Amino acid sequence: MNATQRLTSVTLSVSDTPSNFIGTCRPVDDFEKVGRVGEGTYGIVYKAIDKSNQKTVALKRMRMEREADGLPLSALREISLLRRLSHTNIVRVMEVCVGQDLADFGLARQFSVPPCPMTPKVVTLWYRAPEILLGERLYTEASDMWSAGCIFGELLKNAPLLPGKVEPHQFELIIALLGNPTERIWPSFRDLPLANLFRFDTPKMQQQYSTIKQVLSSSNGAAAASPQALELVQDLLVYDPKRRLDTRGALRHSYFRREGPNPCIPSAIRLRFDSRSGGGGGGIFGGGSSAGSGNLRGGGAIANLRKKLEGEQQQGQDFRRKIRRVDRDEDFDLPVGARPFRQFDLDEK
Amino acid sequence: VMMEPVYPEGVDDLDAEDACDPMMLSEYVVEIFEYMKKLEVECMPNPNYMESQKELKWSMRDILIDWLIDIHNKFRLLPETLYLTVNIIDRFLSLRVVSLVKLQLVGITSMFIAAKYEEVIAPSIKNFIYMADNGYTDEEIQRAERYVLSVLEFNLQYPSSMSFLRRCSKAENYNIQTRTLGKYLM
Repeated sequence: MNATQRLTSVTLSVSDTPSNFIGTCRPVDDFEKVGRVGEGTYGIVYKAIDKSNQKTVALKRMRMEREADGLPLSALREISLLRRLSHTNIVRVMEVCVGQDLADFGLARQFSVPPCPMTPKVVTLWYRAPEILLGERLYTEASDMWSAGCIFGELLKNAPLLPGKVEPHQFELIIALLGNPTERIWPSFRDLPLANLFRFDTPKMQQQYSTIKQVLSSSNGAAAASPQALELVQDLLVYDPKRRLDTRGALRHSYFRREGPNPCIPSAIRLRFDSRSGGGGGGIFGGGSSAGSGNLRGGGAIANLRKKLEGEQQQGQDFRRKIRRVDRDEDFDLPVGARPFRQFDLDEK
Repeated sequence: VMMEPVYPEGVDDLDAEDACDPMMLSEYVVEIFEYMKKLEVECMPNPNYMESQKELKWSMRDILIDWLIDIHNKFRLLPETLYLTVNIIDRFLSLRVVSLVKLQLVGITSMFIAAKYEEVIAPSIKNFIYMADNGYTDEEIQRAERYVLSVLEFNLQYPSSMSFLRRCSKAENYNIQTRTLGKYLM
């Protein structure tokens, strides 16, 4: 297997319950670990060989810190999401499986429209967008674009771009790289819930200029970033989520259009994937003796349900009012009528 | 291939007003809903699963759901969590024969899973055990969780009717009466 070939599938293992994790899952002993690929917030990824067929897989060992609550919430969402995703650039799930490539789906969840408030402490600190650091709970796809910017910068720099240790340190590093946020470039950022936890008036938090150009042109081992590459990182690392580059804008960016090598049709770089289906298995339900009528406790639920739904109705209204209050930024001109790359059109046929 | 949508005469672009509002995802919203409609079909339980169950009857499902609604109410969970819970139960019962003594375990476990999936902060396993009147142990719920998830192959991406209602509500300018009636019917 050559080094650039991607690990094509991932198998989940859970450290403290090696053999009986899930009925359909084989014991971890069926796989021989070859090496450690990487470590994320939620687990360690190994390159491994499936002894039954000699295929190379990625094995992700999930951390089970709060084992009292069963499968960790992040793992549950990650597995569920990855099972639905099917794309050559996303690791394919093989058994009860999780994946970690450049993308981390640890807290991926399906969007709802309009979005509801989400779990506050998300994303590995290094890739966390400033609005999340400041406690924004209605974060959007723009926060992911920030993470993409951090990772793209990391590839250019050959080292993590913003390796913060704790939240305040993370913000210091952001400011050291980009200069401090102001009301002009990021209106009303001081109104975000946690903004008062950060002392923006200290010298460390006051820096007028961006140093990103210097950082990315003199890097350890990496070639200096081209002007277009630099521009793409800068457009992704914009403080105000509303002004940050979006996915379609990024695809149209001059980095991809003016600078070689050009994007090519995905089929030209197609990777081979092998698939495998999980079978059935024994379980704890089914059969068994029927002892009495169980201990279901019913009663009085309908009235409560109605009350609850009425309450929710009110919340929904408040919520809608709240998101309607988000300031419209007229200066921000979203490109309309996005035209995809010609090359991508070819792939559709 | 991306195409500019063409609207019939008298029909407005529903998302034009959101072009400047990243919270409304106007860029992706049409694709998201097309996908959700596809998902909805995939997530349908077998409507006749009770015929394959040996010990269960529809009336027992009623009691179970009423009880879960009670718990849902006490935990103050999101409506999405309840809909996902019921969907997990029905899909699981479409695939496995369950004894009556285990029905409540299926119910509580489904809600435990749904809460983890949907809630910002999910109730702990201890909370659920308390609600089940200590009828099940921590270990039983954890094993049930793994089993339910493996039977459903971790497919929890159920597009709840709430999402569709929100979309319809938007299309008719948030008429409060229609919206409330819609919610009541759900």
